Amino acid sequence: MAEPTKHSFTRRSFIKGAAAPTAAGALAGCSPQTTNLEETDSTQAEAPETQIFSGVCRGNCGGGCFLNVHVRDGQVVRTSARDMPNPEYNRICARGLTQVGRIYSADRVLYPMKRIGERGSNDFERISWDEALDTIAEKWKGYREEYGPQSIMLFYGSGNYALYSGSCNAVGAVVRFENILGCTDAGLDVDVGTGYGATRAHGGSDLGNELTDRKNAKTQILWGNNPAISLPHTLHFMMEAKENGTRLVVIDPVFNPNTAKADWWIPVKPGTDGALALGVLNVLLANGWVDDDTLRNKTNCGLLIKEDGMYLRMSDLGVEPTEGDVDPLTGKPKVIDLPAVWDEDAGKAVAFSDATKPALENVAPIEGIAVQTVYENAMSYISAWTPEAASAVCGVSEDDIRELARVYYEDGPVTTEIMQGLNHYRNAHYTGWPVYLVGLLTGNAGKPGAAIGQSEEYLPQMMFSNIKEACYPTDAAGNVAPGVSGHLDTTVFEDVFTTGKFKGEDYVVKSAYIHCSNPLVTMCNNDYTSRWIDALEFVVVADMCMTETCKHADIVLPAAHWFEQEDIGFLFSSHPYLLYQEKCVEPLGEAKPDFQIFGSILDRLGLGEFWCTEDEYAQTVLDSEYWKSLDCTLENIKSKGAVRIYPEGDKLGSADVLATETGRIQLYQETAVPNNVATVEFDISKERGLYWETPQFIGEDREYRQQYPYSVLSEHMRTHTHTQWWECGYVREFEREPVVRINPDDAAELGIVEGDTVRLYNDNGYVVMKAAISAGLPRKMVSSGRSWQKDDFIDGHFANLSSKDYNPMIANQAFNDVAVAIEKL
Amino acid sequence: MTHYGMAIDLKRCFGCQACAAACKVANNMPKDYSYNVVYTKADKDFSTLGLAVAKGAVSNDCAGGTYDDPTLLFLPFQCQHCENPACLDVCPTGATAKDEETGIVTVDSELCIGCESCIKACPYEGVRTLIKSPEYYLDVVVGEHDAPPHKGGTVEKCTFCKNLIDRGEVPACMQLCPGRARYWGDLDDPESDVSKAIAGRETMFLQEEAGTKPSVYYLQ
Repeated sequence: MAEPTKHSFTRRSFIKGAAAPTAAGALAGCSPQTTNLEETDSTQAEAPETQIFSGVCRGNCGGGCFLNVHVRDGQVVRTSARDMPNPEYNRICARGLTQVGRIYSADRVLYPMKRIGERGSNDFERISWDEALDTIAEKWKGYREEYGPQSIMLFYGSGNYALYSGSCNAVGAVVRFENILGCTDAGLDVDVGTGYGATRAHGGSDLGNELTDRKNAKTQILWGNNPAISLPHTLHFMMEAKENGTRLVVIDPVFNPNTAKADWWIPVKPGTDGALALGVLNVLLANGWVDDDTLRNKTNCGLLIKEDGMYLRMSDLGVEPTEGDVDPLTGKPKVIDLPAVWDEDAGKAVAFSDATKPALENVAPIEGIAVQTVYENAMSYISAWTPEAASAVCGVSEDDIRELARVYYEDGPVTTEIMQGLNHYRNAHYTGWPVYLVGLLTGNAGKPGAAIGQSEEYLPQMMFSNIKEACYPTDAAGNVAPGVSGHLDTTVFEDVFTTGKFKGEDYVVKSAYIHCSNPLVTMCNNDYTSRWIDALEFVVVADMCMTETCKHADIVLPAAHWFEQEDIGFLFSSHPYLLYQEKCVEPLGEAKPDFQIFGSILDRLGLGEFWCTEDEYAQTVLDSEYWKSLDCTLENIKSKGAVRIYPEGDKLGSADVLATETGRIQLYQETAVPNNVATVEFDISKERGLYWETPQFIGEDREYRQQYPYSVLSEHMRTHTHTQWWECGYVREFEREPVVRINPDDAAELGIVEGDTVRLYNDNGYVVMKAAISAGLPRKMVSSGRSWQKDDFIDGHFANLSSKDYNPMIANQAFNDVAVAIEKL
Repeated sequence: MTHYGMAIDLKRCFGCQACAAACKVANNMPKDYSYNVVYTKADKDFSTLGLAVAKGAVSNDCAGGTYDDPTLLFLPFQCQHCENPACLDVCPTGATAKDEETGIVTVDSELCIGCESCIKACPYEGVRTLIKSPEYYLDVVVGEHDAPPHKGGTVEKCTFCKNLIDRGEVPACMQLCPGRARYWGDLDDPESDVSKAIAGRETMFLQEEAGTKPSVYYLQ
């Protein structure tokens, strides 16, 4: 029998006082915990001290893991999962477990640097913080004086969902920074297409239920969601529900680890989910599975559309509009002019809210005005999407389309979990509307077990925080920070930066500050991204590591790692807690927290008066009735570590009164406002009623697809969060290099075997990488992780295969609307 | 007497690699050495391990079969800490030992001469490795302070994180499985997590016919 080595502890030695069955994870409280100190075995007292701090993993996977950060001799040595108040939410993954590989990576940026070579060359020299900040201040002062504050653009991504140094949309300190600068705000233009379309159905209501509610569903349908890779912490809720009798249905073109767990897999052709949904709606309505009460009283189907496409309103019938509450956006009272319906009970046209039985069809002209009901308008479109027609487009059999409709009708409550699988195509918003209607019209939303979308446990933070004061600060003289001077979407960057004009007006942008983002890799079309970055005179990038984007900067600033600063994990989709990040170790080299970098820049611009301390920022953000009602204070976050953002009990979405004009489910909208600054004109006829078209590049009916026969699914990776962890060696043992996965029959046709080097190309560019053979891919579809840096590819760049352009209605990057040809090299 | 063991629920595991990553860092593992590898199975034949990037495969995500009838599952794999370990008697120096108090099979790096007898005798391909000249990803030492020393010229394998167990913790791979697929504890105690997980389930051992009586149960 072996003797214990000199470093081993005996079984008598344990952490005194930590009567924890689950090891370090159960250490309570948030002050540094010291383990191994109080050895009960005095002969083994040489064990070095390990301190456990509270930490938050907070890239944009949505996981927001609460971590124990193990520190020895001032160095992080390990990370492990820390207990959440509800341990069902305990979580960690291969990324969170290998944080040390990021913190101590050879690619860490340790000092401020200025570029001395060509853009993209990685030829930099170390400079002092003073030189870096003075240079930024001098350049920016000059641009601001000569061209105005819009000449600086802040581009922030999603690399850190913490309140102080992160990139929290709407509520983070970065928003205060840009409002003080009065600069141009850059659009990230990601993940917004489906929601833009679905909002037509529900007006923007939150229809997601907390994950702990999943057990209440009879059926759970993953529709365009890959939790095994993208949201690993949510999958156990689904599997536990499944083991408890909740049927797991997966709608996905790919047989992946989720599909492998499914009770029923519905393989749909990529980008055609809208056709599938329209086929399901056709069956539901043809079979009378959407009941009469729902159609008349829970939808806007009774509303009357005039020949000009607008609703018949009470003012058309001689009723004067009235004034309502003040619209916070305009500061003026809302005009109330209710849409009319034909009330069969009353035998006349009345305001929709006064009707007891709105007519759905065959309404005669009212006061000489010809009208069509919304129901008639919707049915005229849906009736064309028979199971046969839908099947021909989406590839799902007619029987399976009928069965899916039956499931929604009979096997509820149904939770429909939707992630970005539908979103990354040029037709995403046309898809979002009918997909959401399937759940809404069958009553599968806003109840236990019934939900649509994903859990969005960041909405209270964005809706109920004191953003007015936190993000629009006032100086001593009472001046309010100016707020951003404009917003640009990425599609117009190059044109605006090179011409100094936007839509014919002067709009000069000279400099960008890039924060929490690596756009050269994460944005569509790497060539385009490098062109717009290189078109700018002066680019500053703050990052923890030397990314592909940093190499195009004039100045690179060393951002502190998450554990090297105090912060609050603030916006996470898949758990309902605000989490405290203690400062665990000193920043490496001369790295500084982004929050402090912002303050230092503002100081040099003479705007420091608008800035504040970290504590002041959090206290201001949390100074609202909502947070007070939950006792969610900075003090409690610090002392408890994790504070819940909702009252106790499963948080459920609400579908009783939707955020639409009528409060009801919409199958028609009279107006459409593009969310794409480049759009001047658009075809309103596609945007008012239900409409769907194939994706612009991969649609099988598209000419482009004939030339480039393979659609490309650009996937997340289980080892990267977007591009983060590219610099971590440990995870390369799970994904060593870029790989394209290809169906065995396609591979045989192309003469490709596992491990061959292949070239993918189209009109936009090319990439060279290795091939792997997977029967999980359908014919003529390949998949690959989209998070690798340029140097990782054998040649070319994966991000060059996608087009930078958007659907005119919505600035939404279409990562998956990519068709290529493939050749073996 | 304790008989530590694991149960791994193959219906739950979705190949996230968290257990393998936890092992790498907690044990301060050198580049390209692993105690714990999650294999991707493109078939249901458990006499073979499948493919893993850590073992030279191109991808961890490829299904087998055909698109109409595909197969994809994951097989976490490490030393099985057998009750009758085949590695024990073949060790010429006594470096390989079985701790009678815990059932854990260990290799003492002070005694190991790297003869690889144990590697040849073990029915489980690849669970142990001759550490040649270890290189590390980082310039700093990470993991537990008493992580294995990774001495060049010695054989290493999963220790069941005996260092952690000895101070009342659980092995690094067991601290939190995202899929809640891993169960740990004393196989002789019917109230342990592992015993309760096994109860009533269809179980499988790898290479059971080798007769070594492994302590890792696979739940199907």
